[in-house]
Order: sequence, then structure tokens, then C-alpha cells
Amino acid sequence: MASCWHCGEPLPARGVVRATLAAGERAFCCGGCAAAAEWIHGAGFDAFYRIGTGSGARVAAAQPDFSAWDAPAFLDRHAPAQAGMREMTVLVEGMRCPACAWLIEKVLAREAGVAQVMVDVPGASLHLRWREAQVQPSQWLASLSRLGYRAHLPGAGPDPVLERESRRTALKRLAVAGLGAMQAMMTSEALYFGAEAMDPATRDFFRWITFLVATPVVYYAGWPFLRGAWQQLRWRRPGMDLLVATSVLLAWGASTIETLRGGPHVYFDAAVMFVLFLLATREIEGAVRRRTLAAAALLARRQPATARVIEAGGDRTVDAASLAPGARVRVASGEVLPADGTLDSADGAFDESLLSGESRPILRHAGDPVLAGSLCSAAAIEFTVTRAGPDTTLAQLARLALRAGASRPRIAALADRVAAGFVLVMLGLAALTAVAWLAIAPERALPAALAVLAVSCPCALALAVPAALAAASAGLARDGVLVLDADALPMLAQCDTLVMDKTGTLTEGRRTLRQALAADGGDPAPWLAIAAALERHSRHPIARAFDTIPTPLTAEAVVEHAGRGIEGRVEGRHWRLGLPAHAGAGADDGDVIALGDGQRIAATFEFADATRPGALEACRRLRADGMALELLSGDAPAAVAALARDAGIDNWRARQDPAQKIARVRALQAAGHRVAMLGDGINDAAVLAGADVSLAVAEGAALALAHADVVLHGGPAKLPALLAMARGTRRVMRQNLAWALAYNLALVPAAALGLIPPWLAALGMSVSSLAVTLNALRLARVPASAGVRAPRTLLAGWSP
Amino acid sequence: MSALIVLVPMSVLLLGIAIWAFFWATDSGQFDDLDTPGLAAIEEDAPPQADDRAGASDAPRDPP
Repeated sequence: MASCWHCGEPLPARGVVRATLAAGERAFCCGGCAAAAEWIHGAGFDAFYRIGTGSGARVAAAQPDFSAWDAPAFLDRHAPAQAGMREMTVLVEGMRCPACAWLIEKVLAREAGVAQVMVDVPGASLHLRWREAQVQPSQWLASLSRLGYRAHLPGAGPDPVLERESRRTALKRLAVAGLGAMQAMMTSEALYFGAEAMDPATRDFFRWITFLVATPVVYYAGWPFLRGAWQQLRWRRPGMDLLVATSVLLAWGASTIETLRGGPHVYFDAAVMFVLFLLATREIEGAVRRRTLAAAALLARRQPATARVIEAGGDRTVDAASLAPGARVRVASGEVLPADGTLDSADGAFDESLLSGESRPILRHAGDPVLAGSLCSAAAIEFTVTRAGPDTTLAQLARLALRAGASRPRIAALADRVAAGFVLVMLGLAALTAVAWLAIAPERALPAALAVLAVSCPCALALAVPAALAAASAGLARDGVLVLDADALPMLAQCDTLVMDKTGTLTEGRRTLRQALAADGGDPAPWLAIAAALERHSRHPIARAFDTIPTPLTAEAVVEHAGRGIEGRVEGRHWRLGLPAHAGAGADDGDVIALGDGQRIAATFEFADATRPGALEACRRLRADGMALELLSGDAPAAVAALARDAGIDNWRARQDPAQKIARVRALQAAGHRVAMLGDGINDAAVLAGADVSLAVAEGAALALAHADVVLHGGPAKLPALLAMARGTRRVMRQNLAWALAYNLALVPAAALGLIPPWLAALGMSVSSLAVTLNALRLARVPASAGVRAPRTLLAGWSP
Repeated sequence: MSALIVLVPMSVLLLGIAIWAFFWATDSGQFDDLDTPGLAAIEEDAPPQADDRAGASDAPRDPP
């Protein structure tokens, strides 16, 4: 296997670094990884490579400068001093598995002056306490960085400290509920079976003990339900919490009164069981959700904490959040850009893999836009800030990813509304049961009413849909498919037509220049330079083919015409580059673009574009799964026809501009089809928005993310698995809904007739919720295509 | 039955102690990291050395 021993990435064709470890000589992708592995070996942490399910994070050869973190003003704000100690929580990028956490913990604990290290894998954060006099943050940050992990300040998004606090509180509530329920059941058991033999004094003694144990369970452990019920009452939106709180409070209150006046029955056991089971169900669901969100939150913090601003009197390090548009910032090699801006240096290379998925460094020239979150991978650069803080492309992306985690599906919202009506009906039914029993046998009124309330709790109903969607999203994310809109999966299951774009979608989109022809038959080099200068401004896939062509020229006033080409001024002359008809006059034929001034064509460029791996096979499987395929492309008929033939697609249209593509999608929808659209998200952003479900391949520009419901990392090869998952999700959702409804409808009459004791009703309700959750988890367990490792960008940490 | 008067409150007291201990453990971070401690079991002990105590300080202090 030709992959780096430390980070697991494929070895480069040239420049493989070798180092000798205990196990023999190993190959590394770069000096950074080799140094990290040698150090890990030297320090006796070889176990890291054995216990790791994954592998290390790739280590940059050049070490960033962390001196800004040592500034007292910075530290006072982020790590207040306390008796010579400082404490700080940072987010760690690159930490993907327990082995990473283990290594970080071991290594940092050995730093002199570090008093405490706590690593939180699901929260992707690290909490550190250190003695101020002995160690500076830059020292442990450097150690972290040498291992390939990057630290970020917790910025926007959920605060990891608060997050940890809420997790601890939830754990405490669960413990109180669990221990309290056990104790309360013990005394209740005695009351159930020994009631006849007991003298009233002993009975009351047991009841008071149960009261003592049950009260904290109801009011401390059950507080989330009581608070939720109060909010639902205040906003007049009856929901599950109201039902839970009513039954718990009713059981507790009635039992307390019974205890005081020495009545025949107490129901403390029902109250505590109810709280325990519900709390446990909620915790399980929450744990799955938290892991999914942690990775998204980390994305927001890829922006570095500090920036070096160039000022008349020399450079000054400032807080990145305080950057204003217009500020000039210096970024050293290996550092991450703190804001969006325009490049001032002559040129620079940037690794924008986090933003676009493109792992090759991208060359940019003076005046080009540069993006926050991209890594300056060659020489140091200077740039002028245009957007900072929450306005950067990266911050918007992160919000999108968070939105994906938080998006509440319409169908779940519907289930919520149904549940609200249901709650009112059930409260009424419980009251009716009580009244009826009061007339027949007054002593059975309360247990029957309680049983109705417990049995009718629509927890399973409310969980049915979100649980299925969460599990499916998690399973897909592990495979590199990011579901941004929660409605996309159920909708995709209903789609019968898939419209696909060609360039950059079914094909690599990274076309290589096959031939350049000057119209006058001469040397094409000068025309190539002009075309390359123009294409530097374009994000169209075809522009990538020009990335490798050096050009001394720069283009100005570049305008992009979607689907046709671009135009701009180079050396004072106006040029058009794109379809021959756009550039001048000429036949649209083959994979050719032309450079011209609008009237005459100066040169033509021919491209070759390979289909993506697995694309043809995916098309075949999709057809077999009953999906009608259609190919809409802006390209020349010859190229489109060839691909359509290879993929077995009968319906194809070439030379389609976005307006025509939209019209085609609309026509299909008008004919009664549900249309999914797969594109690259740039040329067809508007078309994607018009389809019932939009899918985009992640290698497209960042814009693709904003205009798609589902992002596929790894191209169309993932489509059949996605479709299968969507259909599976729909099936599971239906099963869950059917089960929850049947359960509630079947058991409510039994409870009303007094056939079910309250504690059994509480247990049944919980088992029903658990059944729904477990059924949904089946979706997450089967990876869509086993053995495929998700690429290391923002998706890498998405699996729960 | 009079044993109950002593034993039952004692069990409640024990319950209180258990909950207090759990709260203390949670607040001191015992349950924050549930992932790495599991790995400690499969971690191999350092190979026995002639001068085991001196050996500990030989390990590099800082990464290279």
C-alpha cells in the first residue's frame, strides 16, 4: 500500500520521505509526517499506530508561529489567570478518533508546567490547565501542531464550556433518576406486596421514604420536562412535555396527598419510572446529535484567532475578529487566512481544500479574491481584507453546515403539530377516564387516568421521523454524503427522474487542454496567455485547465456569462472567451472553446474530459433501480452524445443554458414527475434550486453547497447508495409512524379500562420509543458503500 | 420489623452518599472523556530496563 505511515494519505509520486522506526523503514508523504512519527516513536508512543482506527493527521512541514497566543492581553481575555494557573478550552482540528485523543493527552501531559489535560472527542475540544510561570501557550500549541493537530479558539457557535456543563448536568439528572427509581421501586415493591400485612405506621413510614426519594427525581431529574411544559403552556403550544409533566406531577401530587391522609394507594413509582425512561431516551437521541454537530461547529473555527496587520510603524498582531475591511494583512507560509480579501502580493498558492474539496494548491495572482480558511501553502503573502468575521465565505459555509444539523424537516414539524392536537385529546380522554371511573369505582380512577396519560404519550410518534433521518444522515456522512436539507431524503425517495449535468458532474470537469490552434495557423502561445489571464477570474470547471499555464498578463473588468463564457480586458483590448458563438462566429462543435473579440475568432482550444470513476456504473444501477435519467449540458452535442451513449442515457440535450435547463425541469415537473437534479452547483445553481431535490458534487466551488440539498463527496458513484438510503429512510419512517400510531391506538382503550397499571404503561411507552429509535439506527449501521474512506475535508468528522 | 426503622433510612442515606459521590465525580470531569481511558488497557507497559527509574527521565521532554 503506497500510503503515508503517519497520516494514511497516498504517497506523492516524488519526494517520499523515509525514516527508520522500530518496525523498520517506513515511507512518509512529507517531512512533517516523518518528524511526527519519529518523535512519537522516540517518546515511546508507538501504540498510537496500533490502537488507532484511523491514522494521524497530516503534518505541515512548516510550523506556524504561535507567539500571538502568548500576549498577556490575549490570554487575559481567553484564559483568565487564577493563582498562577491559566485554563483554556480550544477546539482541535484533525482529532478524529480515541487514538488521537490518547496521543494528545499523553504528549501534552508531559510538557513541563501543564497541570491538567482533558480531551473531549465528541466535542472535538481540549481543556488545558497550566502553570503560567513554567509554560507558554505557544509551547504546547507547537507540540500539538508538530503532531498534525490544529488548535482553534472557540468562536461563534455553541460554547464548548457551556456544552460540557450541559452534558454534565444531563448526566447528573440521569443518575438521580436512575438511583432514585431503583430505591423508589424497592420501597414500592414492599408496599405492593406487603400492604395487607403492614400496620398503618409501617406503611406510612415506607410511603414517606418513597416520597423522600421520589421528590428529587420528579423536581431535579424531571426539571427539563417541567420547564418544557411551562414554556408550552406559555406559548399555548401543547406538546409532549406538557403530557409528561402533567402525568408526573399528577402522580406525585396525588401520592403526596394520599400519603398525608393515609389513603389506599400511592403512585410514586409510576412518576419516577416515567422520568427515568424518558430522560434515558432523550439522552440517547441527544448523544447521536451532538457528535454530528461537533464537526460542523469546528468548521466555523478554522479561521485563525489572530491576524498580523501591516501598519506604518510595523506589523501588529490583532484579534482576527476585530479586522475591518480595508486592513492589510500578512500571512506566513503554512498559516491560514483570517479573512476574505483580495491578494496584494504578485502571486500565491492556496490550499482551499476545506472550502472546495480541491486538494491541489490553487494559484492566485494580485487582485484575485482569497478566502478565509484557505491555507497559504507557498511563500508568504499580503492581502487586503474585504470581509471579516461572520461575513466570510467560510463562516457562511459553517452556518450552512450547522443549519444542516439543525434543520427540522417539514414532515417532523407536521408530526409535532399532530402531536400537539393529540396531547389535548389525550388530556381530555384521561379526564374522561377519571370521571367515568369515579362513578364506577372511585379508587381506580387515578391509576386508570395515569395509565392513559403514560400510554398515550406520543414520544414514539414524535421520534419516528427525526430518528430515521438522523440515522440516515449519519450513515451517509460517514460515506462522504452530506445531507444539508432534512427534507431531501424523503423527497428523493419519491423522485422518479434524475436530471444530470455533464461537466464537472459526470465528468471530472478538470479538463486538460488537448490542443490550442491559432486561427491564422501561427504560434498559439500568445493567445493561450490571454485566455489563461481571463480564466484566472472564472470558477467554471473549464478554467481549471488554464491553471497550469503561466501567463505574465492580467485581465480586468472580467464578466462571467453563465453557460456561454467570459469577457474581459487584457492589455487594453477587449476579449471574449467561451463558446465559439460567444467569442465571435463559428460552429459549436466538440469540446472546444474559442478566444475572440466578439467578431473574429483568434484561437480555439480543444479539451479532453474524462468521466468520473464509477459514474457510468452509477447510471446503470440507477436505471436498474427505476430512475429515469436525463442529461442536460451546456456542452457541444458531440461530447454530450458520446457520454449519453456510454452511460446508456436516452434523453439528452446539449448546448443548454441555465434558462433552458430550468424550463426543462419545469416541463418534467408539469408532466407529473418528481425531479432530482445533480449538478456542479455553479452553472446550474438556479436549476438546482428549481428541482424537487438538488444534489451537488462537493468538488464544485463553495457556492454549490449553498444551492444543494445534498452534497456528494466523491462524485456520482455515490448516487445509487444515496438513492437506496433515501428509499430505506422512507421505509423506516413509515414503519416507525405505523408502529407508533398502532401502539397508541391499541393501548389507550386498555389503559382507560384499567387493565394496565401506571408503571407498566410508563415502561411500554419507553420500550415503544426505544423500538422506534433502534429501528432507525439500522439505517446508520449499514454503510452505503463499505470500505470507502471519506475525504478529509469538512465531512471527515461527520460520522457520529 | 423494628430493624426497618434503622436499615431503610440507612439505605436512603447510602443513596444520598452515592448521588453526592456521582455529582462530585461528574463535576471533577470524570465523565467528560469516555473515549481514551478505554485504550489504557491495551497500552503496553514500558519494557523493563536495567535502571528503570533513571530510564523515565531519558524520554524526550520536547518533540524534535
